[in-house]
Amino acid sequence: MSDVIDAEPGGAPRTASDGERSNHFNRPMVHFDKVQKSYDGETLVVKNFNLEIQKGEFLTMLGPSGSGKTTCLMMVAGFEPATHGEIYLDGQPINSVPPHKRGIGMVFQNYALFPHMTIAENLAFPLDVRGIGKAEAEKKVQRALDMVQMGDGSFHGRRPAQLSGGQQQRVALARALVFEPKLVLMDEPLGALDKQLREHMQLEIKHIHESLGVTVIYVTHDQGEALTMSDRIAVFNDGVVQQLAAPEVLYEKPENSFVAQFIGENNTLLGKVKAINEGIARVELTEGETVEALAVNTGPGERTRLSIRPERVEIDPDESVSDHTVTARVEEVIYLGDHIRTRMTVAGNSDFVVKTRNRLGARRLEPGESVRVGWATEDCRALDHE
Amino acid sequence: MASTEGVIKEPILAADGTPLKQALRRSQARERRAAFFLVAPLLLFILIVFAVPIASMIWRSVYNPEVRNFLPQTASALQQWDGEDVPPEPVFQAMAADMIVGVENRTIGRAAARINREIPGARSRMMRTARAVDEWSAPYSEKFLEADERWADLEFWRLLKRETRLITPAYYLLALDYEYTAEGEIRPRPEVYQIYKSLFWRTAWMSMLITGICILLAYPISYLMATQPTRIANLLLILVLLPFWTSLLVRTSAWIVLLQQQGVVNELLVALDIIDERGRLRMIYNRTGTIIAMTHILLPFMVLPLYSVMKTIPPSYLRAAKSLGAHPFRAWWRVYFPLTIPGLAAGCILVFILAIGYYITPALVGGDSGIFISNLIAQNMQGSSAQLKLAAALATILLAAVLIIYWVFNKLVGVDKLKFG
Repeated sequence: MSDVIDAEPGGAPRTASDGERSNHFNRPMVHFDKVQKSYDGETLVVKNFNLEIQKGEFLTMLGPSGSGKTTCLMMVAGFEPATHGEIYLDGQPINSVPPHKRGIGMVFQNYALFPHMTIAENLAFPLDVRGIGKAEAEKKVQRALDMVQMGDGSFHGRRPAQLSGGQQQRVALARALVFEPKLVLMDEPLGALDKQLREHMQLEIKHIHESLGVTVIYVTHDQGEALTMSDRIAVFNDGVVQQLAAPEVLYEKPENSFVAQFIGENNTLLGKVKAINEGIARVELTEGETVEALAVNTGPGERTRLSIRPERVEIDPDESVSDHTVTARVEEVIYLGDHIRTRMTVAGNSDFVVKTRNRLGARRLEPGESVRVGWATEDCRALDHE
Repeated sequence: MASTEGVIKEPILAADGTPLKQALRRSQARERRAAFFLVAPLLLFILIVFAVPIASMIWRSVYNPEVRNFLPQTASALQQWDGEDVPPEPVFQAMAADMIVGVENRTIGRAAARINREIPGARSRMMRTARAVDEWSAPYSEKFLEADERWADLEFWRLLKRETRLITPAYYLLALDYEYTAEGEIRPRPEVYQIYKSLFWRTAWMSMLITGICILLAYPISYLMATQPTRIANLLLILVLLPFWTSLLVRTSAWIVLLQQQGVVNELLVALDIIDERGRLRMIYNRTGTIIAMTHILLPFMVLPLYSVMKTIPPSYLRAAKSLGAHPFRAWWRVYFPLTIPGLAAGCILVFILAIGYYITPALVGGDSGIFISNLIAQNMQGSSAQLKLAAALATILLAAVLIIYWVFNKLVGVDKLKFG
């Protein structure tokens, strides 16, 4: 699977070719080199992890819990030693550098604000341990609080317990940034917030990242969060990076079934590849119908999973938009205001969902009705069977 | 908020027009009554077996009824006396009358014993005179002086006048190594008799030392327990609690086996050539014994509050401090340690207060140099009624000291912030 990681970095803002690697300015901020991690000596939590994170990049490690993403973050922070391999920070190997000498800002899942210190003291802590003078520290604290829109002076003297969850989150962010680190790690920082606040903070963190130009490694299991904020996303599963790409590439061109399932909504049709011709696979579905699909991760004669996004399916399509159609039976119609979700049975799969825009004059389908659905060949990706 | 300031506050009314506060109070009265009935049995129990005895102990430490109750006429006659010369006839007359009553009621002996404590020999003189007095007649002063010329002794009469007070600080003076002179002034007792003050100090500093050792031993083990998985933490906790589960005598004999001069530790040290035969250490029946044994027994009182506080400190605090650039020690000192203070203070106050009142362990392994003030209190409690009062005074001083320490702690840390476990 490791060759997937080394695949072209998709929408990365800056890519460094091998020849430029010695150049100081293009040196990656963080470089994982064949990193492995095991806690018990029997199973690998992280298997052969290779990744280069460019300066100024916002990289998200996305995956279900237990997939190894937090472990990777902790290895960068220095709280977990790598069992094998080396991590480079700005070109320097850091395996033997203790956490407090790494100069990496970190935002923890529960914020980890020191409860016995005021907000100002919390922010001044990293400056104080660096021996920065009081006057200058105050200025920096003020600037950091301004940045998270808490600089009006009413928060300085309060303690963390007197703040709301969102405010604590902002303070934690300000504290991780106040000493101007080049790299900031965030470990599910928005996990404890409600949906609305979370979406607001996502944009705020993104804007701070853009204005400061720091490198961010962000860990989350929320794919919406990852799509909103990241330059690139590394999708983790089972200790392995499944795909590393920009959000739109990840959504539109998943490399394997796991990524297709994990990112966004996905319809799956099972089938068998009859033949592959110029990258187009002819797939025989379980019910006997034959469709064409983009051959991504499969070979002739193999069983395959076809992946089609719900919004790319047309009901009763024109010949011009879809390359072919199949028969479907409507099971359930769910009205959602701006769009309508229709659950149907297609080729034996009763969980086939079609999203249609709620436009004027759109025909309402009834459960039990039989319709034709179709899609473009390039929207249907033939992936591994798992 | 700002708009309501400055406006005179009208009381908010409930639906039926009564003020809301009153309505609330009424609606909660039932719950309050129920709460009171729940604690009432315990309250009564504590009142009877704890509050009343302590009040009676404090009262006893200052109560001085002998002269006033058993020589009442003398006591009032002496009020007129200026203390400069032999008392006038009415005093002797009153004394004679008191003695007649006292012999009849068999109470004269108690008054005599009280005087005898300050003027040795006074008891036999009083008893002798009391037996003869019913055959005498006025003027009594001559008869008294005929019978024994020491009845002219001014010191006796001054003492008698002083001791007519129902409340006396005499036992407190004694408990702090002071006494009354014959003239009624307060002065330190002769040095050979000064034992209590130095014992109070010893109790205090040894308790502090024990508390200090407990901190040094308990902090690391509590930290280990707080950071280990529950299974290992529980095992460690059992080991810490083991002294509680061992009978006192078993524990003490174990200490004796270990620490005596022919004991395991000394034998081992001799065998390893660290000390020679004549250099065997005395580790029991002295201060060292008291300190070792009490530290062992009181350690859990330090570990439990520390552990319970440390368990609530997420490891991410220390990680955050380190990631912000603090050296591990600095991270510990600035972030972890301040958060453990509520447990540490609770542990200190528990161990110290338990230690200064400790009795049984110093009595068993303390020898002469390792006993505490409680041991002398206990000793005095088994003595005469005067010793009992001295014991009451000593105990009251100890109680006051504990309350003062608690008060100081409250000022320094805030008792509401303490976490006892």
